[in-house]
Amino acid sequence: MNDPMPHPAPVLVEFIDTTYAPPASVTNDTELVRSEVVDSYGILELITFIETRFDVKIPDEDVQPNNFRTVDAMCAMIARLRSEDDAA
Amino acid sequence: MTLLEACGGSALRIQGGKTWLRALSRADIGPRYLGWLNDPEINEFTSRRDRTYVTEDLFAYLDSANASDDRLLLGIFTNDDDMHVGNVLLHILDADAGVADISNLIGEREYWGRGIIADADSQAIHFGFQALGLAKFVMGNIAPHRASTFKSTSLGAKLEAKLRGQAMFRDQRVDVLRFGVFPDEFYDAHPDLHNRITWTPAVTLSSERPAIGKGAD
Repeated sequence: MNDPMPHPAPVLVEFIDTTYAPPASVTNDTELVRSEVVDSYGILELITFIETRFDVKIPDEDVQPNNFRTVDAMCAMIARLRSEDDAA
Repeated sequence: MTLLEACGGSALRIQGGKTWLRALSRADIGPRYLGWLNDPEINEFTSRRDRTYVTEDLFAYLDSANASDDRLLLGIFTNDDDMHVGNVLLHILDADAGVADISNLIGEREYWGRGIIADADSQAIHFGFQALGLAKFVMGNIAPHRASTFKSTSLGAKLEAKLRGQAMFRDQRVDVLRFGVFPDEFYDAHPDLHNRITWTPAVTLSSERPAIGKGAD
């Protein structure tokens, strides 16, 4: 059976590698903002992808570099947003 | 004395990692610049989107900014090819409190997504804090403009206010977000700029800050 909500990390890595074509494949702890793989315009695609693929709504307060710094940071944000959704 | 004159006038140059900034003259205004302001996509998230501009509008805007004692309008030029790709405007809102607004425009779409705005804004803010002795920068955008939100937070700015339903966008009422950044927050995000002089000529108005924005001559 297909898992409708897989762990975000490999999905995000594949999306980032495909969309931004960084010099080398990113890992879970690659610095995406500091290394400029993702900038303020690239973030739009990433936000849309996360919201669509993982069925979460990223609030304005979470549109900040710390939450998109690495794949791990994005996974933590997604997990938090899901748990907040569940609690609501 | 105008703010531009206090900053060195046409000699002012602020050097960033990807861009450099200088004052603009009427010679910088042409069809390409005019095209930026009349391009719906470029202005999608701005109050300019419903207006049509002519060259005289740009002359008036430029002349007014350059004659102002509280606004500093700088062109953004790329280090790679010295191309004028946009502008950044620093507007001192409260000289006593040292608070200024910063806004920008990147008109050349091919330069979007290259870190141009982040580099230009960080240089302008660094200049404002260090050379002009400003104490805080504020900035804002409509909530759907998430690239701008991310840019502001990347500068170290904090979300200070959400003005509910303050603007219209695509026939929908949307929130306006206001951000603010103090020097410690900015230099936490940009430690490489701390104590670096990135501009010529030497401009250190910090001790004279009460004169800025008050029409001093």
